[in-house]
This record gives sequence, structure tokens and C-alpha cells, in this order.
Amino acid sequence: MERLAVGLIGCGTLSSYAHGPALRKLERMYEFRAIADIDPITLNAFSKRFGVDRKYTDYKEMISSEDLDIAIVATPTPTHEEIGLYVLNHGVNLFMEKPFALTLEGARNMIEASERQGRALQVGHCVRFWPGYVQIKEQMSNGDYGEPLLAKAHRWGTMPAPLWYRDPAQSNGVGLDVAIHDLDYLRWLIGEPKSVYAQGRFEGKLPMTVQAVLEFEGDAIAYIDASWDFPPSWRFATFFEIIGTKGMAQMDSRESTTLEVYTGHTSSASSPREDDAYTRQLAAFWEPARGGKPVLPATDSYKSLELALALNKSLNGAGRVELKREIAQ
Amino acid sequence: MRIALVSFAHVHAQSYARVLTELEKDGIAEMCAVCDDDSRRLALARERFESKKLYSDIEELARDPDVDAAIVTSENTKRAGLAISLLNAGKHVLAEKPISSKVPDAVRMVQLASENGLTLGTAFPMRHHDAPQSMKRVLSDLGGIRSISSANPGRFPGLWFADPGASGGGAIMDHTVHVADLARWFSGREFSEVYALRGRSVAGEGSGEGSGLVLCKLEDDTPVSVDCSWSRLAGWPTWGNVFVSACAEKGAAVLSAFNENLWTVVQGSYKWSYYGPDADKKMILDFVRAVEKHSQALATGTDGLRALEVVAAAYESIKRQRPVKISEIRGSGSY
Repeated sequence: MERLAVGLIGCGTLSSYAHGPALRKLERMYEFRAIADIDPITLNAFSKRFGVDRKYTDYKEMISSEDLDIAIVATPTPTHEEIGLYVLNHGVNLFMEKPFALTLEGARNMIEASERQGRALQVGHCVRFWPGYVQIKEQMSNGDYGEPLLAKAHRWGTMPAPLWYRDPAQSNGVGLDVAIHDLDYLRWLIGEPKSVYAQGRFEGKLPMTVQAVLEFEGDAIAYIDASWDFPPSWRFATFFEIIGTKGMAQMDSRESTTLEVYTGHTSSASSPREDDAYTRQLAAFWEPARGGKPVLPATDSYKSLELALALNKSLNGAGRVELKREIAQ
Repeated sequence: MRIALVSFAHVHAQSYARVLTELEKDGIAEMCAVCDDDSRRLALARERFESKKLYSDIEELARDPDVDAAIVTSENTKRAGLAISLLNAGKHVLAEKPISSKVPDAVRMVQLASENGLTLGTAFPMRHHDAPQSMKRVLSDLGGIRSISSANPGRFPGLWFADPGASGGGAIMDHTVHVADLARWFSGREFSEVYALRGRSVAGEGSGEGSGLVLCKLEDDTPVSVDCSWSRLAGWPTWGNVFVSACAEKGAAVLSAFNENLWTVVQGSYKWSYYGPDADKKMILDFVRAVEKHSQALATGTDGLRALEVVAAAYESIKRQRPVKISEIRGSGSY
């Protein structure tokens, strides 16, 4: 198997629990060659933890010095467009964390650059690789549930620590950052929605909780609930339910942990597995990065961004938003 | 105290009859009569409660001086008419939820009870279930509520629930009010606005919606969501559940009220067997004590009316495809 050289831009929390461990598991596919982060403390800690010696505080220097096949970008959302364009324009395949970009224009520019340069572009919609969600998609495709009638998705957590999340202009709040996972999944599972309505709880102008309902072509309706309003003692939780004309399925992360650990005054519960979603999504990028067919086309992820921005528009007072069918390009 | 059970149409009547039989044994209250306009159901009641008075006409029951109060568990669209006959005759009433299928009828019920000095309660047993009661106390220490996400998924009850002429709607009419009432009770705030979507009819064209997603705002814009769907398909191990998750300034509380179940296999099928608190009994005891003390039930007629306003606003929102203010429902006098 041809090993592709990977550079990681952004060594924060997400890279520590998702991309770093995934790259270490996928050594037969990827050589974890170099890392970049503007913060030297974060960079050095990550370098030590994952054993990557080639490190840069300037990602541009990494791109020009290292002969990379792939750059994974896991930086704050407002930097996605600039970094993503730089990566693609230097002929490097791009794995971009979600949300794709802050604006549709930003996402469009990256899609155009990837086409112009003939380089692959995949957005980190990891839920499409999450084992339980994948199984629901498979059973739905098999017709086990019949026609979809009702879907529900919760994604409940605490406010992320990095300060940029707190600035609505930089993160756009819990709608763009969190609800986008379930919007993307529902598009994959059910199809394109025709309307969205959202309400929420704001801290100043920052959406902290989003409750949204969607109507799809056909008879399906859906509810999405994403929150950063839970207290620090809360353990991140997801819930998904699909009801169809012939059957149903429900999945609750709180009910499906496989390992509990107790040490002194702290405890944890998780469902560890070798082939977790973060590992699966990076493995799925290997073929496209060698010129193969994309597993998750960026034009598809563009539509999820479009939907998340429509949700935000409703959340900010636009009421019911009717969604026009548009082709991404 | 002598209580009549008016109509066995609603599935909850079975549980209330069971409670009344228990209260009778304890010497707290007596189930003195049954009234049902359905001859088949009345015949069943005759077999089961042979010592009780039986009526097919509500006006006759209303004239019976031996009846102090009545629990009205009729079809939703008949409830107000029956309750109004009873209230006019000076009987106290505990009305099954929703208190009525129409807001103006519920307003009339509340007015009549007040004018005649009678206790009018709404059957919101969740207020009497120990877990939500505990949650209300917990939330009072956690600062202001910031958001509520709730669900009352259940089985499609069949029977007349599929006929809007008897039910007044579908899942939205049937299941919105329990959790909407809890949100109001927990927060101490009124609803101001509602947006809703309905799911496909359950039993063919003309039957009520099988699911509903109701997004509400409280008067200070606190978001409250309600999933009232009949989304527990045949084969699901229990009838449903009541879920309320509330985030507050200093913490959060997550309710799954009907989680106390044995996981059983009986005759080859997997079922949950509930062993949690008996909220129906506590609710009827509360009603009996309210009548005896000439006071209000924990969930009043007005509480039933406020929850019904959310239902009315939800249907109006579906019709107009926009959020509807509660004030519009009150202003129009109907929906």
C-alpha cells in the first residue's frame, strides 16, 4: 500500500482526540510527517504525545518545506478558507474539518481551487462514518424502516474551551458548529429539506442552544437539538431516532457506553474501538487523495453548510426559511 | 366523598377506576356511579361495577344529589359539554387532558367553576409523579431555566383517537399538553409563541397527525421544544415515556419519568414492566383533598387551558406555516 505523507495544521483538542490517534492507527496508509500550530506550547505538547518531530509554527513553511500529499486542517473556522486555499493552491490534497467554512463563498472558493488543481477535498463530517449512524443508514437503504416519517437528533455538550468559539463572528455558535453534524446526516439519510425553522438560547449574540424543525420532500419531518448549555460535569451525549412506515430505530450514546472507568473523584464512560469514526473518515480519504473517486464529495458538504446557514438565518429571526434547490457549483 | 366516573372512552379511565376502587377500600372516597353514552361500554361497566349506579345521560347523572364530583374521561371533543353539564349542576370536576379540544370551551369551563365555587382540576398526573416533583425542587436551586427540550412519545392509541371528530386532532392534541404543562410548571412562566410541524396521518386520509414537533417560546423567549409523536411502534417494549431536559444557569436536569421498568420476557415477547410511582393515585387523592378543602387542585382548569392554548397555536401555526402568538389564539376566540 502506498503511504501518503500527511501534515496536520492545528494541534488543538480535536486533533488530540481525533486526527492524531487516527493517523497513528493508519500507519500502513499514512506517514504522519509533520505538524503545524501557531502556538508553540500546543505544538510541542502534541509533538511529544504523538511522536512527530517535524514541527512548524507557520503552516506555510510546513507546506513549502515538506513534500506532503495531504494536509489536515483543524484550525478555528474563520481561518479555514485562507489555509484551505493555500494548501490546495500548493497542490496538496485537503482534509478540512467541519464546518467547511464560515461562508458559502469561502466553501465555493475551496471547491473551485480543488477542481482547478486536481486535488481531493473532503470535509470532516465524521457522523457519516460513525458506526451506529452508518448502520441506521444501511438499514434505511435496505427498506427496514419503510419510508421515513420522523427523525430526531440531539447533540448535547458543554461550551468548548477555546475563546474563539465565544465570538459569534468567528464560530457562528452551536448551530454552525454542532447542529451541522446532524443536518449533514439527515440530508444523507432522508434527502434535501424544503423548510427549516429554528429557535434557541443566546449568550449575547452567540447561539448556545438550537432547537430546529425541518420538513423534507415527501412526508418526513425532523427535529434537531444542539446545545452548549450543559454544565461542566455533563458527559457529551448524542441521541438519534428514526421512525418510518415499517419500523424504527433509536440510539442513545448514554445507553451504549462499553467501558466505565473510576479513578478517585473522577469517572469516565466511553465506547472505545479501533475503527472509530475519525479513523474511518481518514481511511476513506486515501483513495481520493491518490486521484480516486471521492467518498464524500465537497459539493455535498457545501449543501450542508448552506443548510446550516439557513438554520442560522431562521435562528436570528427570519422565521420559517424555505430552501431553494441549488446546485453547489 | 362520592365520585362518578364519566365515560370509559379514554384509555386512562381504566387506571382511574382502579385508583377509585383502592380509595374506596381505604375509606377515602367512593366511586358511586358510572356514566357512559356508549351502550357497549356501559354494559361492561355494569358487569364490573354491579353495585354502582349507571347512567347513559349526563343530565341525569348531574341531577343525582348523591354525586359530589366527577372524573370526565370521555372523547376529547365531548369533554367540555359533559364538564359544563356537571359544573352547572354544582359538581366538582377532574377533566382528563386535554381539558377540551377547543380553547373557548375550556375558557367556559374555567369561568363556570369559578362562578359556582367548584374545584376544576386537569388530569396532569406528571405533576404528581415523584421524579418531576423532585426536578421542580432541583431546578429552583439552579437559577433561571435557559432551555427545555421535551418529549412524550407514545403508541398510537387507536380507537377514536384516529377520528378528529372525536379526538379534535392527532398526536399534537393527545400528547403536547403533559410536557407543555411541565415546562410551564417548572419555569413559572407562560408560553408566548408556537411553531409546529405535523407528521403524516396515522390511519389514512382524514385521520389525525401521527407525529408533531412543537417549538414554543416562553414569555422571556426561553425555547421549549415538544415532541408529542405517536412514535412507539407496535413491538416497542413499553407504551412510551416522558422526557424533559432543562438547562439552567447553574446546571441541568434530565427527566426520563418512566424508566423504572423490569425488562421482561413473557410468552416469548420482550416487554418493560413498570414499577415506578403511582402518579394517577396521587393525582386523584390531590383532587379529593382539594374538593374537601374547597381549594384548587395542583393542576387547575386554568393550567389545562394554558396547555391547550399551546395545542391550538400549534395547529394554527401548521395552517399558516409561521409562528403563532398565544395572544392571537386568545384574540380570535377560536381556532
